[in-house]
Amino acid sequence: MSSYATFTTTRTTTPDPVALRAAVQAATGDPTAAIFTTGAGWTGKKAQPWSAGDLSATQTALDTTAATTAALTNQQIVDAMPMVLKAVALTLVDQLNVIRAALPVPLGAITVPQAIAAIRAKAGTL
Amino acid sequence: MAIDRTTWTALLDDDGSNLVGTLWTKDLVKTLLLDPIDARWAENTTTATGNQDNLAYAEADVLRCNNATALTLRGILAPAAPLKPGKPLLIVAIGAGTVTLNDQDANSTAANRLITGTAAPIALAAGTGWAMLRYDGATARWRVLANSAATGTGGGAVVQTTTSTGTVNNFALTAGATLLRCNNATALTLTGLAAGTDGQRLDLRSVGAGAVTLTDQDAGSTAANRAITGLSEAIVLAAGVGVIRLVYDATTARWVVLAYAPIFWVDVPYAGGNFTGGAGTWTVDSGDQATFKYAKIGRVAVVIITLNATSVAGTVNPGVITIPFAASGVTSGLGVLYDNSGSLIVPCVWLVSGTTIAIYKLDGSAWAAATNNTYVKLDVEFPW
Repeated sequence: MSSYATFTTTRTTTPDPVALRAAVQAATGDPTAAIFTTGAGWTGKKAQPWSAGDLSATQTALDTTAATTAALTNQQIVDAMPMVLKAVALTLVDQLNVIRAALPVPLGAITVPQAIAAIRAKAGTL
Repeated sequence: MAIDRTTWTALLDDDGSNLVGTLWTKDLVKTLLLDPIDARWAENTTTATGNQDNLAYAEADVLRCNNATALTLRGILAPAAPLKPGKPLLIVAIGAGTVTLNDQDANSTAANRLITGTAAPIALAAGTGWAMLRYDGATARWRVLANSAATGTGGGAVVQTTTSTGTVNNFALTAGATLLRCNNATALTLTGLAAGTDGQRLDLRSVGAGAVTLTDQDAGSTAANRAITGLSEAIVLAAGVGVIRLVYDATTARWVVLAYAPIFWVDVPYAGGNFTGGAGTWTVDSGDQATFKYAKIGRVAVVIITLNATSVAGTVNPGVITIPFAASGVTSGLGVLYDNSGSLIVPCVWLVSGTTIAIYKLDGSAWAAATNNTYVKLDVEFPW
């Protein structure tokens, strides 16, 4: 049976949702805990009833988690990249690897994780 | 309207000389000049009831109908020749019975018939109704210029208030009513209203503490008293707000809903069974359902759904939401889904068919398995 708690905050910035979720999970010791905005405030959800410590720690997390930024948002878009876009990017990488292998002094292939990481890193700089 | 020359003519001597030799006295002036005018400017009261043909009214300008029971005027004596073109007549219903003006009723002499302008009878409410007529000499008919039963054309209003509750069959609507105020303390369901006259408009308004329901083609009421909502289902007005506008169609012998307002959101109570995941399990807890409501605007339905921190296990593709009524045909569109893949809500495809909304990821893959990390937000529009 899930348990819910409501929170409010005076902060004027939007916390980074990924960091906030991680902070709440750490604060409550519940790896499945979640927190989401409902327009008027915030609602926390966890598997067990909320203790006073959970409430206090989650409130702190809500108030202090770093605000989201354009760079973070861009990286989260990469994380949620549709398969078709990923296919386009990786097809180009495949072709690049063909060229790299055909060089007089061949270069090693770029792996998929390396390619995605590079795209993610680039998105974080835009 | 021509001036009545009867009395003037009476003043002429037999030899045609004008006023010569006439001995003027006060009585002569009164008899010949004033009395006829008084008679025509006077009010005439009738207590007649039932069907009345070629009703005599002494050519008064005002006909007061003090009828104890219903009176139907099937014809009124045409005015005498000098008054015939344009003769005005105000009919007022002051009695306990309604006064109905029949249109072109063949039971009266042709020249005494009425043209109501609606090709249908006009019912004047007991005690308050009125109608203004003038005699059309060219067509030799009385023409109704205005009346209290008409709405939107300068006519007056007949307001009725009810405190009835529960289910009411064949609601006793006041004749000629234009507004029915439902001041019901608890829920009121109307399965039908007393039949109106052809073209009669009626606004049914909820002003009480209970909801008002008008059912569709309900066999609980006599056929001619039933309502056609146009939705094949009842219309519900929330307590204290909302209006249903109806018109009575004598041809189909039904009240017909023209419009209703405002459009009300209906909240769908949480039920875990409303959310399924095909081969997998999509778990939506009660607190996850932030919004699940719908409104029907004519034959178009709008459903708004916001689900937070739901859980996915196994292969959920698509996630399926059950709605409380069936769609007409299949409709699709875009929504947003947070699928445990970062923090972003991304587009998804919804497809409404029957009583379900199926939600697919854009790439067609299964939803990611996750606990408390799947969010759905849909604004769905479809015909029903």
